[in-house]
Amino acid sequence: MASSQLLWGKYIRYDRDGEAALLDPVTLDSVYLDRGEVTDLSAVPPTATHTALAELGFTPDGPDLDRREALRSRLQRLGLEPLPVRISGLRIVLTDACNMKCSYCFVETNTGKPDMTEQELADGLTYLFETNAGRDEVAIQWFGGEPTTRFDLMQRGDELADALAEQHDVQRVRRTVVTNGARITDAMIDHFSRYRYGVGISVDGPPSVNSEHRRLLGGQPADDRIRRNVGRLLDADGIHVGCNLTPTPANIGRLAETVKWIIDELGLKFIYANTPIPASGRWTVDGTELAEELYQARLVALGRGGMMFSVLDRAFQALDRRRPMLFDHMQSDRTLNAALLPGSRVSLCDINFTEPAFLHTLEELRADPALLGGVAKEIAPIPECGECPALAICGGPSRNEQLLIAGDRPDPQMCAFYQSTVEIAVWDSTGLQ
Amino acid sequence: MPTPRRTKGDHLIYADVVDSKSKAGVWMGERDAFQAKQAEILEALKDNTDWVPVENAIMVVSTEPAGITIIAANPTLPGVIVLADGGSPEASAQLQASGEELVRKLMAERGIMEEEAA
Repeated sequence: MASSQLLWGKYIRYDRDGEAALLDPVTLDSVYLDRGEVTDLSAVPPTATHTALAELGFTPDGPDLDRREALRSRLQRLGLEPLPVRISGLRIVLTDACNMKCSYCFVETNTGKPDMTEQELADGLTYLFETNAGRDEVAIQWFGGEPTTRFDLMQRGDELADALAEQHDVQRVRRTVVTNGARITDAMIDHFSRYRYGVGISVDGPPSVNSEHRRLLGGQPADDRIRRNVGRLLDADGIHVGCNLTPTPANIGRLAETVKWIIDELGLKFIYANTPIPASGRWTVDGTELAEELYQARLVALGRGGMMFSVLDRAFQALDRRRPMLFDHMQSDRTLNAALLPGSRVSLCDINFTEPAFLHTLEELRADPALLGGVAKEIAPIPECGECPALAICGGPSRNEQLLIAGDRPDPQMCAFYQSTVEIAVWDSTGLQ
Repeated sequence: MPTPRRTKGDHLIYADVVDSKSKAGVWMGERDAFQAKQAEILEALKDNTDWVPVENAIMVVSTEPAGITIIAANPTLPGVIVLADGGSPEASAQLQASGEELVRKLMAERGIMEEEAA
């Protein structure tokens, strides 16, 4: 049985089966106490355990600092700034046309709006390579709608990217595509292989789960077709194929089973579980349940020779490295993956293509790079964040989350999710992934 | 002594990028690279230690409690090696005990007697 409480007004104390773990939510230091030490800790100080804890930096005294302020100071000392320095990758949204209709998609599909033009694509790529001249790498991710419906633009863009990389002395272009996998031609496979693509297939599980929310436009399931295409992609040389798994009410409660199916039956050994997006204004999944499911599924994947990543990994990495991991959408080098949209617009947030606060033209971004700060996160925006074990791991809602839920106050399920991820990670320091 | 969490800085993917770059499975390519590095490290270890190859070794991944258990046939003596890591001391002890118990149970089911120590 696990529980948690506050020790000495500043450490989170987790108890489980007689042992305990202490976490400093600001420094992210944590320490384990065995049964004897737990007993010792409750005795009148100083005991051997009190002394040993003090040597590790866990003391009952110290400045009574507001934890939100303490975190901000620590971020400053570590040089962790919320302001992005440049755009290093583009999610290129070629079209909103899609051959499937998925109930939870955050993109409004098949609206009849024009696709991206070749000129718009060229302008966006030129901006990307100009901005990253002399750098090691830029990233291009083809996205939609279903991006393969405009395979012609993908081909054109990849050729152009090569030319621009040479022109601007960019060493490497990392190419990926997010696809539903329902229409993959031989020509596409040849192209992906030639450019060593990462292909992310969006699948939510076995047919009974996947077809719950992911169906072709006509309403029929596409599972057999997707499965055949995954096999063809896996057989090709030079393509890295993975699965983008969205937790939904259909697979929550069955995530471990779902992951087992994806690895054993579909043959995909890399799984990325998407983070819930409160597109309807709130989280639609139970945060605690989701965290526990992701964790179980992660271990199932590891036990089958696969890898599964999700935002749960934030907590593990933050605790393992004693480093806050609270910036959403920004890369570890403080650069952004933004979305290039039809109509020569860029969204600073690659999972929100409509919010006016994120939308700029290329000219605006060129003229005023400080506009990138429009997606910067406000750290721990509400007083309750200061009391939260996940203070330095969640850090409060992202700008996108704030806009979607129309306020600073995080969705309670989001809070429950991040708090659960911290507790899970505190108890697992095996460093498996 | 209270045990601090071990430090680890070689995560395969930085969590603050999981929302974008890694989504399309491109990281499977990283696996080729790190597996090559692992092989290189092990070759270097072989040059710097006395060692015997361990065949038939498996890593059991447990969920309750979370952790890993390496189980391998002892390459030079009778018996099976069980080494568990559950993160916290209690969890490691639990995993070690359950791993050993499982080995004994499966031995008994097969009528294999435990070797007596000399």
